[in-house]
Amino acid sequence: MDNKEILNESISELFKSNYDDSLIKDNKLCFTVNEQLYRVRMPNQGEQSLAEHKKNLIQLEYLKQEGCITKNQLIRQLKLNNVIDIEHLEELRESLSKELKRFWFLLATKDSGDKKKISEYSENITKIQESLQRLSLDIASHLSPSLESRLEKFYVEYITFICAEYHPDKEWKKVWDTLEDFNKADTVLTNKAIASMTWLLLNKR
Amino acid sequence: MNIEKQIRTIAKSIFWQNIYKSAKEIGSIQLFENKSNFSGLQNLFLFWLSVYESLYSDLIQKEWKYLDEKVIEDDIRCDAFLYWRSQMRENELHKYKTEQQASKLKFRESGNVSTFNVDIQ
Repeated sequence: MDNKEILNESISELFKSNYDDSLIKDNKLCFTVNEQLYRVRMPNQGEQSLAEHKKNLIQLEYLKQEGCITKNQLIRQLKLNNVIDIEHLEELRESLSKELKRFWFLLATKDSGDKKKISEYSENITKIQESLQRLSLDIASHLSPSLESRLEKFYVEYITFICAEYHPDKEWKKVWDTLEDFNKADTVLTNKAIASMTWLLLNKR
Repeated sequence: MNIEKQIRTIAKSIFWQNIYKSAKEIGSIQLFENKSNFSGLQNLFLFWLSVYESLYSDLIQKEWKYLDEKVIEDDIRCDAFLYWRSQMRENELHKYKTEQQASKLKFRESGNVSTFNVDIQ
């Protein structure tokens, strides 16, 4: 292998191990809808304060609405009406988490040569994690009519409305001028923007 | 590939591990285009950068019997190892505290070994 080949191989190796860093290179996340490029960006402090303020105002509105229910009240109602026992699901989640830790312990103490056991334990772990994910989704969807969930949804939607941008020609522009425009917009676009914003804000709420 | 898996893949890469190490040593290297207001994804990336740094460091020092490169490559095995390591460290800490308490046992009178004061923290 001559020097040029070595150099080329090193460069290609460097690119291979560099991977796609677009997720973290800045505090923005790009996505496409109908071949149009969009992005959501992290809200600045002023925008976060504005969204919190709007959330407080909408809370007052929600409280006046008929059927407004808090999370704890909803949990009680769901149990009383035999719809679902959220506390039982939480206990199930707890026991699944314990089971997960048991398998982690077993897997961690296996030598890399023990492929059979590694594969068996890994499969069990994946199944438990999938069950935990389903359980969390189930709990969240049953609690979505609660005041707390609606307020959280409003906050993320409001931040998305403020911080979503598109790139029509040379510069980034706001996608929606008003919250009303956002609410009337194509749900494919708004859902994708909200999902991207949720990822961007991950663990920040 | 899901987003967290992607973040972990980038964080464990030698390329980013070297950048992270240099950034910590030199200080003036900027990891991201933004200097502040990090996104949740960037915070997650920083978390995994430091986790994989500790794993590579443990691997070089042959700190743990069950840690090898295959464990770091496989996210499920890596999660399992991280949990097991945290339990081992907790046990070590507990053992250390118990030993510290035992060393604080003081004899009330010299030559009399049947009674003693125990300082339980």
